[in-house]
Amino acid sequence: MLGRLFKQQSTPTLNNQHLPNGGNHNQIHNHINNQTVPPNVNNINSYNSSANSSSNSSIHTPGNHGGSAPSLIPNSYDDSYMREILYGISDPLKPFPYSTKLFRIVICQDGGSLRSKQILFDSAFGATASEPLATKSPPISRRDSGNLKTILTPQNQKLHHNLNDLNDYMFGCGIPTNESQSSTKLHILNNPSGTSASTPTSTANTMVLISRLFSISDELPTTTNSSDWNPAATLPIKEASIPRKLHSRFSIGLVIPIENDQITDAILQNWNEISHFLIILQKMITKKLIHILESTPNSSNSGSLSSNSTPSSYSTSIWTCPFVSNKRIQFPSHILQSELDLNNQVFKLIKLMNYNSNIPRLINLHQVMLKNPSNPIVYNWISEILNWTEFKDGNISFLASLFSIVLTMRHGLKRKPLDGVIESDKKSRDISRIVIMTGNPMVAKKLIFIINGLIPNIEINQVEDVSKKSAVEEEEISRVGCISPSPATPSARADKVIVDVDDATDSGDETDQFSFDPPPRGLGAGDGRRGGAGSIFSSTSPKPIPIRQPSVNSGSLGSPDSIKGWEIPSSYNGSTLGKPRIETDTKVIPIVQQAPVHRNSLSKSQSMAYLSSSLNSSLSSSISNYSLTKLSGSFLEKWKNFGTSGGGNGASFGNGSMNGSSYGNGNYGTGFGVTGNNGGGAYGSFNEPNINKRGSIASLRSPPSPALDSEEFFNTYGKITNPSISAHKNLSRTQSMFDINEGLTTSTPPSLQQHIIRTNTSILVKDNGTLTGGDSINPKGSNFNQELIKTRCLSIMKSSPKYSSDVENEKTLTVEVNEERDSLIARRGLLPNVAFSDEFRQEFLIQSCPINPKLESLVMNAMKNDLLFFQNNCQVEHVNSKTLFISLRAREIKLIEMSNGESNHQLGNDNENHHHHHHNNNNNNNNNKYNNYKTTIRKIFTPQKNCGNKERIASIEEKFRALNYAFGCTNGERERDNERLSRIVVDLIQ
Amino acid sequence: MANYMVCLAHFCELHGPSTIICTQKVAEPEKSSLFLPANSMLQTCQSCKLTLPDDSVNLQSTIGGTSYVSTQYPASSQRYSSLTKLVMKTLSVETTSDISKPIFFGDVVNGYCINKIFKISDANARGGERKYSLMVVSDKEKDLLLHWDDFSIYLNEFILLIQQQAQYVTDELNPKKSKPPATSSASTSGNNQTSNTATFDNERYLRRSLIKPKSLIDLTNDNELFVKIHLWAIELLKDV
Repeated sequence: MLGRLFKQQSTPTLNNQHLPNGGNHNQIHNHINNQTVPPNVNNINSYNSSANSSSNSSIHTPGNHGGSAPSLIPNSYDDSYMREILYGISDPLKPFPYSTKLFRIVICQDGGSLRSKQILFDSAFGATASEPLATKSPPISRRDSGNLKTILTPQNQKLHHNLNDLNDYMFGCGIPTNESQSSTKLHILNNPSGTSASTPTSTANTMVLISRLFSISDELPTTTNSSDWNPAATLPIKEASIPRKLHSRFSIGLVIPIENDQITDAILQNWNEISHFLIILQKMITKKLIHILESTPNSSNSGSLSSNSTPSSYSTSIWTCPFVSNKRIQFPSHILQSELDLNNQVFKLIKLMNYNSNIPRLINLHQVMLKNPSNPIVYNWISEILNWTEFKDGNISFLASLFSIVLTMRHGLKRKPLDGVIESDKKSRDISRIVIMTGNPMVAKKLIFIINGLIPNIEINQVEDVSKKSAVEEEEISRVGCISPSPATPSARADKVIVDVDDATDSGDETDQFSFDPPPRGLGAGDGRRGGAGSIFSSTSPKPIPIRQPSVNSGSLGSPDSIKGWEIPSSYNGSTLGKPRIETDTKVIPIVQQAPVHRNSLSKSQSMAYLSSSLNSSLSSSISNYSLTKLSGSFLEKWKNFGTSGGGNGASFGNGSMNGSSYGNGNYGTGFGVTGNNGGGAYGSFNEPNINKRGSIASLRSPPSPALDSEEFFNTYGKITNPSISAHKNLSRTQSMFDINEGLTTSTPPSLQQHIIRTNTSILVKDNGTLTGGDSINPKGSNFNQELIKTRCLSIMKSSPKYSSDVENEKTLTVEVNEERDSLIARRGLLPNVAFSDEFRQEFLIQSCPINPKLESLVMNAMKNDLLFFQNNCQVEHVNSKTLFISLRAREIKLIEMSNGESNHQLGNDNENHHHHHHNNNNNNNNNKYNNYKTTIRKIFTPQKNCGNKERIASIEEKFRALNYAFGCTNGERERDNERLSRIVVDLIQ
Repeated sequence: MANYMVCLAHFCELHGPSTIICTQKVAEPEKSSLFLPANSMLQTCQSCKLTLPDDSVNLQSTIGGTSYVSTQYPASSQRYSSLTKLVMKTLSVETTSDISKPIFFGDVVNGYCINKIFKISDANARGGERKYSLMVVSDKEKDLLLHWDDFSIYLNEFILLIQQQAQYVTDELNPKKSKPPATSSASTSGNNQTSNTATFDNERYLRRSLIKPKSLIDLTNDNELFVKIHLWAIELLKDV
């Protein structure tokens, strides 16, 4: 032991603290060490191309990571209305500007010496500039690594921790352990420079070291779990190793800079994703190290170390390997330094952290709508739906078709794609995603806002419920879209037969599964059985609105002119858009009194198909907000109450008029100027809802040129907007911001008043009483919790405990506990649903991405990775990954499904709508079932053909019409109108 | 569902890393399964011993159908094995750059823990201080980590209170030791005091004086300290 303690290391090591400064630097670090990842994710695009591409050499090309070129910042285009409906707050969420130079990956080896560890890879080290590492494809030899020692130089030593210290943290510094299982550690380190990160834009003053210890040559540990103690990692790993007992441990260390006290938001809320990253990296390193052992000359003479070798051949070869001595593996230092894919891992880590912690996640709108259907955000949601069906869909039933498929697969969207495996997942695991490809983020965000209303959220500890529901959902999804519905008999459900789309015209008994009983044709003919939409129809006096029936049943779609897509036209002619809007206005108004808004009539104009620019979308949403005021009734009263009782909280819900000029002065993103003056003039217009304005204003306004800068647009828009309209708009938006605080999370009863305090990844909830005085609460919630816990601890320490002997057990004391206690602020992680990401991320459930011809293949790669990961590491028998791929430009909805196929699967008949691919990466007979997978691509919706479930789509369209009717029919009995709307919405989303 | 244990461990100079008190949460009908028998007292020294009022072995509290039981070690053999290994790692292997911050570690064999090391001054201990660790142990990695913030506050606050109380006791016992050296050397009596202290320190330095195991109860002069730790652990577990 002591001998080992003082034994000098036998293999060449390199201590970066003793290396001379200067010298050659790796071009990667030359570049990234001088920049900071901007808060928005767009600037990281420059990394994306290199990381996504298979060509690693691009990373070493100066300029590839320039990132200095100004790029669009989609999230910054969000006005406060968009932020309210997507994120629940009007203020922009502050991203953390990661400094790329502070990220670090180290791979070290414990070769047996207590005093030193070997560094196999360190991303903070450079290499020779004259001989780029990109050109060195094979691993460097041991002699090469010795030479490398002399040329490697540490960069920015003040920015990085001493490697010896990191080794102590990773491996520990005491008695050596003889473990073989992987273990994970997390240390919080101070900034090595003692101050915050030196970049002016970064406030990182804390670093997190996440370590992963593993062995490559040890037998797998045997775990004896019991029912009351069953240790489980976030994500399991199936460790591939040499079946030979050798005492060597390896470690991966990730150094991640974080903002002070933001470990939960930045790291722990993304722990699944980080664990996944570590597992992938560990497997990659294991493979490389085993390959090095195999390829060393001495060992090759004695036999291969491949997995096909028998243990006896291992025993022969392993001892002749020059890197094995005294039952330990001792690789030369920096033997992995030239591995290009390891260098890429740094960029992947940076991107992983940036995308997952800086892109704000959507609030759980579905829960808000269910728990508080009268929340004004519900009316925003309705309004956006109606706007979409009116301006975007026109004669086609895109949104209804989308609803029909999302409603059937939404339970699969309750869990993160990288969520851990629970017991019920062992047989089957479903992973679902929704990806929208768009050239216009604003349009996509509106659609995501609509979709978000359908997606339930769950707590992490409720995943058991999900698994139960997913089984039902699996049956549902198998009968949706182009699949012929089958009778709901067990045998029929068990047979998942994929049918060609062309054959999928039968509707079957799908409606039995659907929660809504659609009213018969004609809005007034509801039977009221469900007390939902049907009942309201019967209670309303107006006659059914003669809404044009989209040609769902026929499968045909609108006129050819209506299928031009929703993306920004390449050239814009304002006059061509203005005219049809006027026409639609005149069409709308005739439906005046009892059925005042005939929305589908607005969409007659073929030019509506062009109304897809972001600016136009904003405009329509603005108008829709204005339209909200038509049903103000109870909301206004609520608003009044808020204004008189609250106030002073920055929201200024006073009794006064609202300054509608904020749009006009260009500050559209910074609040709406609700003033506290006692004007009250705005009320008058609210009390007289003019249902005709909704369509007319929206239609008459000429949309700005897509090329127009949004701020410029809003300046223009402000000048031409009637102040009173702006006031209405401001009212509804501010009101929704205020009211959205209720029922935002799944964990609290809806009756609780809650102020929303959120971060990019989570939301803070206090389930016992209302938080007041938001300024006193740290956004992280720790100040409140800290004071509360401090008080608790102090009272315990100062108290004199009361206890008595237990009557049943004399050696047991029963201690009295004070049961009354205030609750802590709880943090609820939000699902990884984001509005827009400039790069497809497999971690997200719902996202919209820019147009990219490779996007679909990227999605399919991620799905394939799903299969491989859950099959190989989690031992899941059947993995089914599906993605609803929506192309807004092409107006297509595809359902891509990938699963590990059965061996007797027949290849499908390819046609334009339905593609089967059967893959067999059969490298090893033992893993045959893990290498077979089946891909199915089904076009659910195209402008030419709608292959969705007709009855379901028709039912949804009925609800849309009901919404349209109820939304416009607000004559007098507002409470009843609101209740009616709420019932329809609940019926629609349940 | 995640299982939790809250533990106070100590690096005993005689026995190495050892558990002093461990609190577990269980449904009330099953609480008796966590109790240690009356004759289960280990042959431990004062440093490692769980000293409870009335020579009791177990502490229990029940709130709303949930019982919290504190014993010196877990009755379950598997939990005992896991906790022992985690305690050993905590006090012998793991290290960190800043002792004021907790660390996390664990694996699928033994479970996971968030722990914080703290030291209590004791002139009779090796190095003049005793080393303890407060740990929150769970069998589910993700569940444990998601409570990082709250657990960190709990650990920090209670450790601070223990250290303050121990420091207060130390200052009470050795009031003159805390005086600045310049003041004590100003007079003859001060020189004698300095000389005595130096002799005492020299004895200890040369390890001629016997190592005296001392309980945390003695260091804090609080006979009910472990009962309070039981209550503190309940507060922590109630927030899980």
